[in-house]
Amino acid sequence: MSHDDSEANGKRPGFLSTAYSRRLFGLLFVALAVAFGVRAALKPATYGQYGSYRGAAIEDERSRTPALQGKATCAKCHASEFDKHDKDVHLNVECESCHGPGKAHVQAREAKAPATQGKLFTELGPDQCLRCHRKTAARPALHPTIDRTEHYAFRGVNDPATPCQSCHSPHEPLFLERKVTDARMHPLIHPCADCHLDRETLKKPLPAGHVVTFQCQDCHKEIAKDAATKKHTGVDCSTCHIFRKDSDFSGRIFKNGNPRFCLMCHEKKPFKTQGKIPLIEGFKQHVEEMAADESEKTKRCADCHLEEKIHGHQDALRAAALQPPAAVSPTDAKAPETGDDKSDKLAVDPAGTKAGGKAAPTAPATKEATP
Amino acid sequence: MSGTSFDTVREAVAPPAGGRDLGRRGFIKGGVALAAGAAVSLKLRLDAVAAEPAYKMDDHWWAFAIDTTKCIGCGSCVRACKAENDVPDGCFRTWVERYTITRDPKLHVQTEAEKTSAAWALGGLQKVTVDCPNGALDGFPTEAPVEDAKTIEKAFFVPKICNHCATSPCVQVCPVGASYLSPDGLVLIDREVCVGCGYCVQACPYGTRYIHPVHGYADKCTMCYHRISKGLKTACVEACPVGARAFGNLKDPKSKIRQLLGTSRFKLLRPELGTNPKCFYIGLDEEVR
Repeated sequence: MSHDDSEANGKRPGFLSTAYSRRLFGLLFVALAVAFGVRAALKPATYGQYGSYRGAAIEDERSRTPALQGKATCAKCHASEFDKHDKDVHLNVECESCHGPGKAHVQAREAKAPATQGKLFTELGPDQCLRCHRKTAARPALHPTIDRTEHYAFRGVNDPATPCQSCHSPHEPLFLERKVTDARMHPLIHPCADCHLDRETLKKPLPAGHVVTFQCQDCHKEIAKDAATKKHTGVDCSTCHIFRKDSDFSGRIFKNGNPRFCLMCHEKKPFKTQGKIPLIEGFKQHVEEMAADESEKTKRCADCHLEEKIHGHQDALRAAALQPPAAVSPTDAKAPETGDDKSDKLAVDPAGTKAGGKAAPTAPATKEATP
Repeated sequence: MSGTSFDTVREAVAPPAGGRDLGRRGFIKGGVALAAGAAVSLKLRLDAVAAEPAYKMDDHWWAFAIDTTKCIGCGSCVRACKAENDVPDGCFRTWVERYTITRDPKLHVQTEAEKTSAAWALGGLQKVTVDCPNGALDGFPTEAPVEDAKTIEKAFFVPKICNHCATSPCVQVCPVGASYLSPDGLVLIDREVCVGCGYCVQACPYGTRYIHPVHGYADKCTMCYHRISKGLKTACVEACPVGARAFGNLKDPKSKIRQLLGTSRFKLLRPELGTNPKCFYIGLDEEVR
């Protein structure tokens, strides 16, 4: 009420009519102008370009230089080593994963700095190898893993300090002759280990009523039958014909004729004790010792030992199996006949069941079923 | 990712300038040169670094995928990330966890939670142990984190990394606009603006952020933005020896990640939080949080 009265009387001063309010609003205006000025001066130029942040920050982040060089860079200078590495099963292991980041190394070499600068790791301790290959419950079953003590005991290695590289080359762990990716795809895609993550289960014989799984001998009958008669019968098919799973639907099997592969088991080394496995001094000495003449010095392991110690050649065995009994040629005659009586003498390794590559146990034992 | 080797070939085979009216000889010469060029570019696997056209943010929406069934827990990714991004000791942009699930049938304590879970039907006491020694920088030095390896029911590795959430809580809590989601789908940090208050570190439900002990700003995985925008792979993807990690552009139907997600079943980490994570986990176990 009183409010209306005072207005009606004209006693109330008008808006901005007093010096006081003029000062007040003037001050407010100046404060705002200063605030906007300060904001304009301090606000990054690109703020709000994409959102409520500094747009140039994206470019800052993007323009950093990569530190890891990648194996293509290494290949430019270390071509021969790279080709070996690119061919074998370690092909997906980056050079820098073992040798360390290569930025300083590349910079030093480009600047023609002395060789002591930008040096990379070249000596790997067992821990580096075991980062990937230590037996660990959580590792996928098909990944090759070892317990170092067990492995050394099995191979007859005396000195526990023996480095892994004494037998295994990190650049070509399997000494494959053909490139991994050129190896043939194999339809055997569900090895035992796919279901049985627990390795202890894998060592047991198949329980009664177990689902039928394909074994090597189901298709490669002749070879498996022949192999059971030879010295290597306790050795898994997959020990030599290594199965490498690519995905749930594909995998590859390697065929390897490289003597260096055989020598991983059969070479005499100062740290190895002679056990059941026959050892030779060295490949060159062995060939020269055994060669009857000069032409035989180019022979490789499989040229002499395949038929005798491992298994006959696939084509010959197949041809023999396909031919009617009357027409068996003298060269393949020994395979089927001598097979059965010899196989009784040579025990089949029940532990050799990994990767679905077991050669011999066909009859499932009814011992115990896993719950 | 547009920088595939196929792109390299296509670039190399593109006709040279002024090649319209080539004679037969010129044609053959050119053909030989081009074939040689293509072979060289294939051989060197240049990953189309040079041929990569100017990077366009609008054409990209980056995402990550991890196949936990493949991981061998070697820690190569952690080491590569550390080397690439100069990650300080004790901090991790990516790390690998080991889940070990044990079951002791003798110790059967049936809890209410067990009654409603699938684990109950199996009987025994189930226990989940997660370990991550130094982020798996040196792999896992022990066979298992439990005393009796025989009780292990299953065990697996789970690599962890920033999920680059599309609606990220870390971006929402940043008081100074230093954390942001870039137009190509990456959660990044503006180091110049960050004041290191650490709100984002607490907001991240996946624990992927840390405050840099030397520089004081918040830091995290950038999905190697400086590499992928140049057509390279991220350091961890490059280093993974078993192909357990993949990344790619979701906007490109031909990208590796689209093919991977189109052919496999995946799961997200804590989708119920509404963060819309973009790290897709293939073969993820129920126990993983």
